[in-house]
Amino acid sequence: MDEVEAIRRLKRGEIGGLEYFVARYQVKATRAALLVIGDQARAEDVVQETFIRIFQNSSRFDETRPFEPYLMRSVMNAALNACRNDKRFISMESNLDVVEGLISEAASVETQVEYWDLRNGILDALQQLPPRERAVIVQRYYLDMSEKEMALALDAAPGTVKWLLNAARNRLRDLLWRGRHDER
Amino acid sequence: MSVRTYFQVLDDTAADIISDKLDLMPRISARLERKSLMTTMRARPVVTVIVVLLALLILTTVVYALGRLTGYIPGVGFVQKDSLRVLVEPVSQTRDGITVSIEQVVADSERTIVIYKTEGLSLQAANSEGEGGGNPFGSVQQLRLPDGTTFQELAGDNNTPEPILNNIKTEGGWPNYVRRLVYPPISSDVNELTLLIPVLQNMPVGAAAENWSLTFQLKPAPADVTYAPIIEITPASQNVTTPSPVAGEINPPALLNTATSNGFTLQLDNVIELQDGYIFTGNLSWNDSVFPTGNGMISEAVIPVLKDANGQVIPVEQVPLDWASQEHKTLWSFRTNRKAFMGPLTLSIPSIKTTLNPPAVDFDIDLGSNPQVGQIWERNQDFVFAGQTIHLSSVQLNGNCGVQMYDLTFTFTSGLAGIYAYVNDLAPQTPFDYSCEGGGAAWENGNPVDSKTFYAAARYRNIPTGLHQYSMMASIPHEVNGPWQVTWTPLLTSESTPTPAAGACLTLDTWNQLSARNDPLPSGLGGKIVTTIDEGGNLPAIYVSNLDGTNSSKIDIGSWTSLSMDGTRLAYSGTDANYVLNLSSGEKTTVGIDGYHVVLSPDNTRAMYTTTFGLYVVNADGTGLQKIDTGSTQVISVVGWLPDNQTIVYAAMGGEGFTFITHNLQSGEARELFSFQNKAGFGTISSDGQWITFADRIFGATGWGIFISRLDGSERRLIVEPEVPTNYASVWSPDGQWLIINTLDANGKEIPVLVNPFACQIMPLNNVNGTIEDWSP
Repeated sequence: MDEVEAIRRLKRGEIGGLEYFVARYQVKATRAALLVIGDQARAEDVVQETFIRIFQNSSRFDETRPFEPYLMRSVMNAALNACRNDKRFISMESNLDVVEGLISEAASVETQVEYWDLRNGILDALQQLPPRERAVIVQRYYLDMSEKEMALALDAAPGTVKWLLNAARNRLRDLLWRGRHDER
Repeated sequence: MSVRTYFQVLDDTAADIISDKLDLMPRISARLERKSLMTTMRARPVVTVIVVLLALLILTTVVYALGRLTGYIPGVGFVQKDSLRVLVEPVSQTRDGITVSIEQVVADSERTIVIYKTEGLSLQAANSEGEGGGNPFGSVQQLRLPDGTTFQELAGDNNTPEPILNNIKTEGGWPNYVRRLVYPPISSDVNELTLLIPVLQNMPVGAAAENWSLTFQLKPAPADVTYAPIIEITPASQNVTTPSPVAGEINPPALLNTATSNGFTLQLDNVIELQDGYIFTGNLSWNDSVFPTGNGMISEAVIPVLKDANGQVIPVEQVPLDWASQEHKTLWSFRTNRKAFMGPLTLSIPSIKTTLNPPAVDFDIDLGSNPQVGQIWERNQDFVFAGQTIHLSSVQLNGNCGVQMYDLTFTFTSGLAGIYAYVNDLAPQTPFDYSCEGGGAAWENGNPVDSKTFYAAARYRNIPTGLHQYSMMASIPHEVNGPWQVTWTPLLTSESTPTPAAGACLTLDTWNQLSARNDPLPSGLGGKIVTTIDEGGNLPAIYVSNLDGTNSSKIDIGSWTSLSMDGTRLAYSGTDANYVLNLSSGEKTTVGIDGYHVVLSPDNTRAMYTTTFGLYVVNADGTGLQKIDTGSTQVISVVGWLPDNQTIVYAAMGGEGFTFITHNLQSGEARELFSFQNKAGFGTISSDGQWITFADRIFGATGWGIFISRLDGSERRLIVEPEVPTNYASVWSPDGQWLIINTLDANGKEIPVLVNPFACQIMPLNNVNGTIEDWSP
C-alpha cells in the first residue's frame, strides 16, 4: 500500500488507513510536538488527538495531496493550542537567536558529552520562547518547511515568518558560537 | 564544520524523550472505540428505551426551538423577531493606535450576541513575547450589566442547529479580527451593557492595550431590520401539491424532504435564503437496526451531494453549526454561493460507511511455566463476529515492544479486508501495560504485508506465564447502502443560471498522467532557470541551469531567488543579506541586510524588496534606498516590475486576502488592481506586463486554484485546478507565453510542469530537480 492508497482507505473509514500513517509518522510528529510543548505526555496526547481528528474528518481530506505536511501542520496547530494557557515559560533576553545558536553549535560538536549537554540546553532554551517562535524553529529546522510553506502553514504572511527568523540571527549565531568556544 | 544537520540535532534532542518505539495506535484505537460506545446505541433494552426517549425529547426541543426562531441574520445567527433589540449605534474606542469597535449586537429572549472587530493590531505585537512571554491567545470576554452582574460566554449548549459562518474570523489582515460572542439573554428592561476584554485575541499579555471596556445601548429592533428568511421544511408525510413557482415568492415545501432506508433517515430541516445563496441544514439520524450486532459507529463523515435538475453537482461549502451533539443523530449544514438553479435540487447520500462492534469473545491460552521470547503457540482457532470469521492462527511472545517490555502478539486472518481486532488480558499479571493493547494490520517497512492479515497485542512488563484468559473484540467494516435522497425546489429568481466556468488547463487527471510522459521541450523554448533545492541546511541551495536541466551549477545558499529580465543577474536572500550576483563576473552586491524577495527592474538599474512591513526600492549597487509609501498595510508581498521600469507591483494584505497594487515611482501614484484570497499574497507578472498569475480561492474547493488575468482582473482564467498539489508559486516564461507550475508529488517532491495557459498545452519538466523560482532568456 502506498500513501495514496492509504489515504483512500482512510477516506473510506478504514482504520487500517489510519494505522499506516500512525506507523509512519507518529515518532516524527510526537517529537515535533514535544519540541513545541516540552512535555512528553502532552505531546503524545496532542499527536494522538490529531490522528483521531484526521480519522474522523478523513472524508474531507484531499487524497492527491501529500499527507505529511497536512499532518505536521495539524500537529503544530494542536501543539500551539495546547500551549494556550501555559504561562510557565519566561522570556530570555536573546531568545530565538540563542536557540539557533545552540542548534548550530550542536551541529558542529564532535564529542558525545558536549552534544548531550547541548541537546539539554536546546530543549531548555526552546521552552523559554513563546510557543509561536518554538513552532517556527520546529517547522523550519525539524519539519524542513520552507519559509513559503511556513507562511501557508502558520496562516501568516511570508514576512511574518521571515521576521521571526530575522536576518540578524545568523550573525548572532556565529558570534555566539565563537563566544562559547573562545571561553574554553 | 558541521558534523550533523539541524534536523539531526533536533531529532536527537527530542529522541532523548520520545523513543523510536513509540506506539500510539493502541491508544488511538481505544479512543475511537470509546467514542463509538458513546455515540451509538447499546443493545441492552433498558438503555435503548432511555436513549430513544431522550432522542424524542431532544427532537421535540429542536422543533420547538426552530419554531420560535423567526429570522436569521448572516454573521449573527437565528433571532426571534418579536423580542429583538439591537444596538442604538456602533461604539468604538481607540487606544495606542488600536481601535475596538462594537458593530452589531442583537438581544432576544434566548440570548445576547455581540460582534466586535479590531483594527490596528500589529504583527510585531502579535509575535512579541509581551510581558514575561505571555501567549498570543487573548482572554475571557465578559458582558457586564449596570448592576455589576457579569455574564460569561455560552458555549456548546445550544440545541438549535444554527449555521454560523464564523465565530471569529480574520479581517483587515491577521492579527486583526472580527469576533462573535454569545451570552445569556438579558432582561428586557436592561438597555445598557458593557463588554469587557482584558486581553485582545492574538495578543500576548502586555503586547497591546488591555482592559477594554466598551459600553453600548440597546433599542427595540426597527422595522427595517433585514432578516434572511428561514424556510422550514414541512415533513414529507404532508404531501403538498407544488404549484408553479412564482418569481419572488417562497415556494411551499416541495417534493420529499425526508428519506428513510435501512435504518438511516436523511432529513432536510430548513433552508435559509441569503442574498448570495442558500444555507441548507438537516440531519442524519439512525435507529438500532443499522448496527445489527448492537454496537457500531459511523466510520466516515457523511456529506450529502447537491445536484440540480440536470444532475450537475453544485459546489457547496460546509457551514459550521453551533449545536450540541446528540445520540443517534448527526447534523449537517452547507451553503451555496448563488441562488439561480434549475430545480428541483437533490441532496443525496449513496451509502454510509459504518463499523460494527460485535460483543467480545473470550478464550484461554496456557503459556506454560517458562515461555521464551520468540516462542510461538499455534492456535488455528476461528471466531465469528457479525457473520465474519476471524481466524487466530498463532500467538508469539516478543521482547521488542519497548525497553523491558514483552508483547504477546496474536496473528489473525479473515476473508474481509479492514477488520481490526483487540485483545485484552482479563486477568493480567501485574504490572500490565494497558496502553499497548490493541491491534491492526501487519506491517513491514511502513507497509501492510496483507490487508487480510492483522495483529493484536497485549504488552507486559514481565514475561507472562501460565493460563491466561483473553477477551477479543473486533471492528467489522459494514457499508449500508442507500441512496438517501431529499429534494427541494428553490425560488424562481430573475438571476440567470450562470454559465459553467471553463475548466482548468492542468487538472488532476492530466497531472496524474504526466508521470508517464517525457515530452521534448517545444521548439524554440529554452533559456535559463533558477531553482532551489533543499539540501538539509538552514537555507536551500541555489542552482542555475538550462530549462531542460542541463548545465546546472550551484550558486550559493539562499532563498527568494529571482533572475533579471536579461538573465545576467541573480537576486536572492542569503544567510545574512540580500544580494544581486552578476552571473558573468561573479560580482556580488549587497542590497539591504533586512528584508527578502529582491526583484530587479527590467533594465537592471534598481531592485525592490520587502521587509514584510515595508516595501523598498534601492539602486542595483545598493545605494539610494527608498521606502515606498504603502499606507497602513502591514504585510507586503513583492510581485514585480512593469516594463516601463517605473512601476512596481506588489500585493498588500487586507480584508480576507491580498490586493494587487501598482505604484509609479515617478509620480507616486498607487492604484489598486483587484483582490484575491490566499494567505501569502504570491503573484507573478509576465515580462510584457500584460498578465498576472496568482492563487485564489474557489468556492467549494479545498485549496487554491492558480489563475491568470489581465492586470485589472479581467480575462481571468483558471489554469490549475485546486485539486492539483502545487506550492502555489508559478513562474512566467521570458516571452510570457508559458508558465511553470511547481507541483508536488505524494512525498512532497517537486515536479515542475510547463503549462501554456493560452493553448492549454502541458508537459512535465522531468529533468529539473527542486523548485523552479524564475526563468529568463
